[in-house]
Amino acid sequence: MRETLQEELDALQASLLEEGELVLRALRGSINSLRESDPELADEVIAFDDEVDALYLGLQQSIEALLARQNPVAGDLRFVLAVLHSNLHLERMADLCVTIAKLTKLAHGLPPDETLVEGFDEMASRAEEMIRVALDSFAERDVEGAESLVDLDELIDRTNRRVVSYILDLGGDTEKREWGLRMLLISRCLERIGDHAVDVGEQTAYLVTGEFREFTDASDPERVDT
Amino acid sequence: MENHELEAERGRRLLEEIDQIVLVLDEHDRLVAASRRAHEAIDGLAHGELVAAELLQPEPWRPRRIPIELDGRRESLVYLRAPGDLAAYEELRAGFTAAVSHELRTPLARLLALLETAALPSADVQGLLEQSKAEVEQIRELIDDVLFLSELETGRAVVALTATPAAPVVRAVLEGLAERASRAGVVLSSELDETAEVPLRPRMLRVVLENLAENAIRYAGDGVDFSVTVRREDDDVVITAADSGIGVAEADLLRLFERFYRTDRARASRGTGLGLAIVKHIVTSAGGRVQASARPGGGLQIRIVFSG
Repeated sequence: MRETLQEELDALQASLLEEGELVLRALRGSINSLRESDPELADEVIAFDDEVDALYLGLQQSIEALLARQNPVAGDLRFVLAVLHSNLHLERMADLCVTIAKLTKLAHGLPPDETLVEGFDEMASRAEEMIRVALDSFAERDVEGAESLVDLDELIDRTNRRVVSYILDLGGDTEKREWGLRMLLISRCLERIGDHAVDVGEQTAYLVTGEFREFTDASDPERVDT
Repeated sequence: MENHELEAERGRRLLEEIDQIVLVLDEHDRLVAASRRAHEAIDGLAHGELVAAELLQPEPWRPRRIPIELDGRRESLVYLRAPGDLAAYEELRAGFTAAVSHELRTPLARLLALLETAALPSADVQGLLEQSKAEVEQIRELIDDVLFLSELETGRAVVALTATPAAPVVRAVLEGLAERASRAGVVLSSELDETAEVPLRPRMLRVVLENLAENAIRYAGDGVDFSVTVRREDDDVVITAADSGIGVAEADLLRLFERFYRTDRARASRGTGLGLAIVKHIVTSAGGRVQASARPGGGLQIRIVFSG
């Protein structure tokens, strides 16, 4: 039996939201592996990425098939394109979680700094909140909710900048410096996850308004962070 | 915007956005302002009108009033608590805190008694120290379990990532407990479908199985069998842990998964009383079901089902 267009569109959204749930698990897993110095968990997070990739690919193929067979127009077309983009952003977030897990393994055995690890835990909680807000506002076509991601992102960016200066003050001990170097990259990953959540928010605004605009202007010369 | 206008606007916004039910009332209890949460939780709030008297009664809203004086006007800030959900949660939390404190008290009292005895002139200090260590160990287990359960409840612990083949984990857990089991006179066995996978992280599956096996070792009694079977039933994967012990009364079966619930028999023995609560939390977080029943022929049977 031929599925209706609406059923297919609903299925796309359900897959996208499911992918978001997997990303949330990967993120929590990667940060827990850091917090608890648990390389076994880090390995599981790395292996788990296959499941996110499978979902990503499945969604990509569904979109391809839908575009070819259903010729969606107007709002439906925008929806399909928004899912296409958001799908990629979620997959990237999961890749960043894998990077965090790999860095955690590299840092295993080096002397950790509790204050910084706590800070990452908080940063990850913010990133989780952003992913939830991004998915909820997408599902509810809530532009205001999507726009609130900019403010949330600012909080993560700020923490990221603080982390950089904190790490510079860690001192001259070689092992500490090596640990700090890994953590610098983890901080950057978390910051990038926040950026991807904002990007999903931009897709929500595009879907609702029909007009694509960046929430923040990355080419603004006043902005020093990238 | 002028500075004082900015101040005023900020004040308004802060009140509106605060994540609690807050009202600002004038001296006659007419509404001046309310937070968004207040509008969500209370029907019919209107500016300039008297608020319902019921809101200011001690129950169920439990108002906390903070008087403020502004430019000669006497207003008050009133915090309210939504009846229902929150109250039930608070009650549960309070009950939990009380239970944990009670559970900690018992080993602490025993520890104190042991140390006092050790201070006596003819005491067997070495033996008493050994016993003291056991008490400290029990306190630590309880704290670990409480922390773990709270990680599960807040969703901080990751229960499921990739699927895990169950058989190797079951074997490892049973091997790890073999010595304790033989000391307690419990015979361990398993019957495993090597192809069955469950949607739990290996560590979480380990915790589940350890708790089930330890319960049997602690409570089932001398000379019993404890067996774990893993099999597929259609699309489901079913883990069954059964012992041939004295079993659990029908009335207790449903309550077994409650925190700190112990059957009369279990009360005498050590254990944190959280094991099955942890098992249930892990299994249900991963989308599974868990059920306790009487084993045919006597004993207790815990059945865990993950639907494919």
